Amino acid sequence: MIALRNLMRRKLRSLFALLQIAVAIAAFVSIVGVTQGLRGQFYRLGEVFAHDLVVQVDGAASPIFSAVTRDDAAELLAIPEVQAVSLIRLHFMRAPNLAQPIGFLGVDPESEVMARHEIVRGRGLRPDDTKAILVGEVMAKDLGIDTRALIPGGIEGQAPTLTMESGLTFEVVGVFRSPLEDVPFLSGQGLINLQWLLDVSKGQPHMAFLHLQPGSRLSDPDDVKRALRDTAEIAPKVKEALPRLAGKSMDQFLDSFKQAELIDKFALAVLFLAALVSGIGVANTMLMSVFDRTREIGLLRAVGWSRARIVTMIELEGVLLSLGGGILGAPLGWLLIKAASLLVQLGWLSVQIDPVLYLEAVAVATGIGLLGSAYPAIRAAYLEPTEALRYE
Amino acid sequence: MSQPATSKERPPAIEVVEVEREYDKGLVRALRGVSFAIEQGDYAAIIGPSGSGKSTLLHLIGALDHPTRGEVRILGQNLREVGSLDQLRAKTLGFVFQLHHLIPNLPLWENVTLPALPLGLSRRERRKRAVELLGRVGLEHRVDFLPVKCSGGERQRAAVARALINDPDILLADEPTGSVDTETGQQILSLFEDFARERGRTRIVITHNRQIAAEAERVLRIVDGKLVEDSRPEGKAASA
Repeated sequence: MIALRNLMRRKLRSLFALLQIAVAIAAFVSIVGVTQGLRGQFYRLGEVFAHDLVVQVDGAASPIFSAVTRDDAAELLAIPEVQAVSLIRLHFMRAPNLAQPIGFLGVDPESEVMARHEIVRGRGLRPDDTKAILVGEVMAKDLGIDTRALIPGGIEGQAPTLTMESGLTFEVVGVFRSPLEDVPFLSGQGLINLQWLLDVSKGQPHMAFLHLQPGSRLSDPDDVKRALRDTAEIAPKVKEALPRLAGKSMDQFLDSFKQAELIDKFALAVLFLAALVSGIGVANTMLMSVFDRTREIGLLRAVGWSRARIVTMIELEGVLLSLGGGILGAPLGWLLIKAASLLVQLGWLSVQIDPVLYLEAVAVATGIGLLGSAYPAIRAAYLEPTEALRYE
Repeated sequence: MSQPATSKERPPAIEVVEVEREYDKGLVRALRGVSFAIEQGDYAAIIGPSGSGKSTLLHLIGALDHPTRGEVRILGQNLREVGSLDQLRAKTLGFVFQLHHLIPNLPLWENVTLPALPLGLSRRERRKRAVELLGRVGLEHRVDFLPVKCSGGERQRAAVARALINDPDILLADEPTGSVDTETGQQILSLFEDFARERGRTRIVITHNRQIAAEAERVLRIVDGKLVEDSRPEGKAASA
């Protein structure tokens, strides 16, 4: 009670210190929340792709450094367990007024991957399409594409267009829904005709999806795990058929991305810096408070308060301040990332703030409070009562 | 090292034996070989000019500081050998300072109970004691008031109540009337006297005021860090 009242004596100073901690915690929560959200989205891909083997050049650091040709696809289709093969080429282009590049998947219109995308407006891709694009629902929303001309099953009137920064204009022929409704990342991209993309880019498909059970879809996590394990067992057959290629189950494929690890490290670095800055803020606030209350602390020592009791009082004030910052900072982080995703049209971004992250944020805040107020507390405890009582 | 003579069987409330206190590596000698004993229940006034070492002496008696040389004993215990001076200050000594030193964001009753917190009493018990004491110093109507809402005299009376919350054996006061008007000062001294007499508490008051000193049973005069006078005003006898 005394600790809380001491904080309330300098309301503005306490409030600023609390906000400083809240911002640090918000930074931590938003970065980790986004990372967890993305990872959550990625790993749900198993529900749709558990029976698919992802094939790319062995050792390729990223699919864009890989090449799987149509001839390779024909040989891969000869593996007995493989029922169908979808080739994919990735492409990125910039649209005016959009901060981040847009991702495009070049797919064959008749492929299994294409079949997994439900067309909700307009029509699907055709083998003779050139500058036609199917946009995901999230992408259509992010880019503000007027899809009124796209009616279920076709186009009525003038199809909308999408002009890239390079001047290339696509005709938007349809809108697709994410194969996983609550994984918006999948509909934050566009689908274009693979052959046209290969022709204009004079390149090869980057990767192939070998479908072991076309059309399968799993929802039970145990089934997903089992299917991923079974799929991984087929991988050696890819190597046998084409030694320069390697097949991976979806979980192995996602694990091979080091970006998530980098983001985790970045989040830790941000957390460390934010904790350091707000810890210094707490130390400064508490130190000023101790200076202001020198005579009071002298009085408390004179009437029998031990050094440990003084340390406890100051530490408690620091922890209360930080806890307030932590409790405020976690939802603030969530709000910040939501606001940011609206401002920069990142509709595919999802934030995942689970109770564990919330507790982690509060624990971090408590740690900041304890460490930040340690020096002021020790300083207060070792004030000489005789000098403190005379302090002006 | 000489021992001051004590005539009673029970130990003196305070014994100061050849005490010296130096600061700045001996450049400042605040006390020079001071010795005296105050019996339990006595009322002693320490007088002397500013800078003579009165407050330094009170701080040593109050276990707030250690002498450079010599010994201070409280109720027979050498302060250098006491395990917890914090506990001793909380249980045995009651302080009243020239300034009330009340904490501004705590109501009077909570200020009064500050010395009781280390003793682990329940909040209810602490409030009960504080309300009773505040009633006895005439502040029953100010129990839940913040110090800023009280007059200077009321604050100093609350400080007296705070000194008494743990029922200490020895009351120490450093110019307790120095920051209040004469009438309020008189009230505070009367309170002090009442509380001391009812339980035979020992009182030591530092004062510049000769009238206050004249009321004491013992007068100790310090000049330049030395005890130059240890007397009993006429008609005053030891009360124990």
